[in-house]
Amino acid sequence: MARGDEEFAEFAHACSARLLHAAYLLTGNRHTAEDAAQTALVRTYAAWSRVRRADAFAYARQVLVNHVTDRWRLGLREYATGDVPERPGAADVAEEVTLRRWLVGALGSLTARERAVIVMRYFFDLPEVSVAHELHISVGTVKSTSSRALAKLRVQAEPPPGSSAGTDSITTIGQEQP
Amino acid sequence: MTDLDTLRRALRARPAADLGRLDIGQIMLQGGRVRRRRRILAASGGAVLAAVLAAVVISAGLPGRPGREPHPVPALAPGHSADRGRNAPYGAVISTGIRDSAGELVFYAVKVHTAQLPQTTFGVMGGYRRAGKLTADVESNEFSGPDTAPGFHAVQSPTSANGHPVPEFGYYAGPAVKITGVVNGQRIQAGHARWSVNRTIVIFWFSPRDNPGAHTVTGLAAYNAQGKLLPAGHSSPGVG
Repeated sequence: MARGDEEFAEFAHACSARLLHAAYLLTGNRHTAEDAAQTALVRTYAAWSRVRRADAFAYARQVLVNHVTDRWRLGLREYATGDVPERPGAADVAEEVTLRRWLVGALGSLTARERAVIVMRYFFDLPEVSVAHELHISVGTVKSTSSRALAKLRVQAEPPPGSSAGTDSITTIGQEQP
Repeated sequence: MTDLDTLRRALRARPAADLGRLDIGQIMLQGGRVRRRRRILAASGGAVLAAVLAAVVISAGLPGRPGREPHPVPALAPGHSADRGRNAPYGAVISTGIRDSAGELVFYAVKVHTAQLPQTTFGVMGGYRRAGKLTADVESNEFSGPDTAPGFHAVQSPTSANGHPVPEFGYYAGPAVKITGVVNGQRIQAGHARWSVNRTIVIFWFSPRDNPGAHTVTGLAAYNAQGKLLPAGHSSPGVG
């Protein structure tokens, strides 16, 4: 195996799980996610000589997100649900399970762009300017899209005045604010 | 912890669904094909943008016991409203009987003229026919050696183009009456039809019914009417 191939194989092994996870968040479908993550890595390998010395993961991430949003633009998406599901009481099930259930339904309420912005901002932790660059939109659009998406998710972008860190913030997710 | 922290935690929590693992070898195989196509297209200066994709040869395998025995499909006359430009059908359009929202999947040959490929005169186009109109979605042709040398040529992995899925397809030069391949450990049989312009050319495709995961079919094998395994031609698996 050529040296470049070895490098790519190492890179792909290291990042495929994260890409697959992100693809699942973007698509909500295991099979579509696998296809999207694979496509991202195929194109990354095709461009490996060009991107290996740069930020290869950023390249793969950008291909992934744009591939998914392109598919949605082509009408291959599952349509968003109208309402964010209510989160069941924390005492009903384990917290992680509760979060998963809420997340699947909540992401399904977003548009393709909103979903992409949320995943890039809060899964990949990218700054707004990077999100704008990778999605080919303005920073202002990132801000407004993120704000709109968080409102749909009923997530507060900032801690409410007077709140203290360490409180059980789960109770504010997936439920109407008073 | 803020609400955003909880959102982050939810996003990063291990998904309930088993996401499985990606096949890195398969990724590199497909990525290599993309890379080769780009090089060829770059070499041709973009003048023959849709005319220069190629896949060559997959190694032969042993005959299996396919669950279905697709029959050869008759080639139909070219649709009167087909593209008349670069992607105009060269000979008859082959109907596959495979349908989705885009219409019926069809294959047809197109002429190839490029200085970089002096031994390639035609390629195979995968597209859809709907309301009498043809689309030109994925084209594949030989790029190494004579395009009618005995064996497999222009084998194209399953892909999608213009929003339409196109299953694995290619052509075989020789008296093949059965073509098979392996996917997920199972040997499956391809649909096929002879090209109206040159009856020694057999255009084949693997139906999504037999390969619902759209995985690359490998271990291609062609057989003549006596059941004898025919030469695969080039022997580099996955090249193209």
